[in-house]
Amino acid sequence: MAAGLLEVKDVMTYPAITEDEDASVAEIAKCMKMSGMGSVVITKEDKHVGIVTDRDIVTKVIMKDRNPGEVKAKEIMSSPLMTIESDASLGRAGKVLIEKGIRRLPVIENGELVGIVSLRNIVTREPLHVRKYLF
Amino acid sequence: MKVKEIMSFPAIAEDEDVPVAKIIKHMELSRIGSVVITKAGKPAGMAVDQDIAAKVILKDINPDEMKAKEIMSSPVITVEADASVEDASGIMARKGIRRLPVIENGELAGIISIRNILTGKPEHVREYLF
Repeated sequence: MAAGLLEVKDVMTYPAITEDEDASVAEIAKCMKMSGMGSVVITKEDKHVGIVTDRDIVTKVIMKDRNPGEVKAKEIMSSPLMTIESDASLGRAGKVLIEKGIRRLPVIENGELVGIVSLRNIVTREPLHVRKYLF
Repeated sequence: MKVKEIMSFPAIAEDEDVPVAKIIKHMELSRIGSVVITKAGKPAGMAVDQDIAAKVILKDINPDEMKAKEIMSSPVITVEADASVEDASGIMARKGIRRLPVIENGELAGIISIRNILTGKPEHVREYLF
């Protein structure tokens, strides 16, 4: 099927993993390792305010020899959060990703965060179910 | 720490004349985001998910009718297996890329990615033949 005909919700990875802005980078990295995800959405008072990606952790913490236990998510997150509606076309999501040079967009449905659509989802047309680990 | 301690291996490689559809299939099955593209057996470029999304899928081009060499990023930037992880991170940060093919004794040995650096561990890639 052409990319223009599929909707974001057909191929997104769900649910999105979230953490509070005051969580340490060590906790965020642990989330990424356990869930296999490359990004975690950051919330403030339960509203999504930013996103931390594997690249943020590598370039802003690991490469700078900062202690991941002492750096907070809000210090390295990208904010404001760019999002896309779950019924947007895959073509539109892909266009935003390519134009902005990013890999992932959090997906919103009825005002709630429901998943993440990534370049990978667009290429493989395959939704992924993320296992959420509690620890 | 050295690159070879945390790289994913083996690297999946395909000839430059294979259709993009075959590259996508590798990405699906092996759960990887890049395939090294070779010309006469030597690494000539990388086909990454971003190239495929931008140059094939969003243009509604049939991936069976496009060759890997038409969409690959080239020349390929590589790193030696015994280089330090810091050096590899520096290259990725400067070039704005996520993955580097790893060369050991002149041969393609694996791929080191941002994810490997984050998790500090290698991944074994399962290669599917089809």
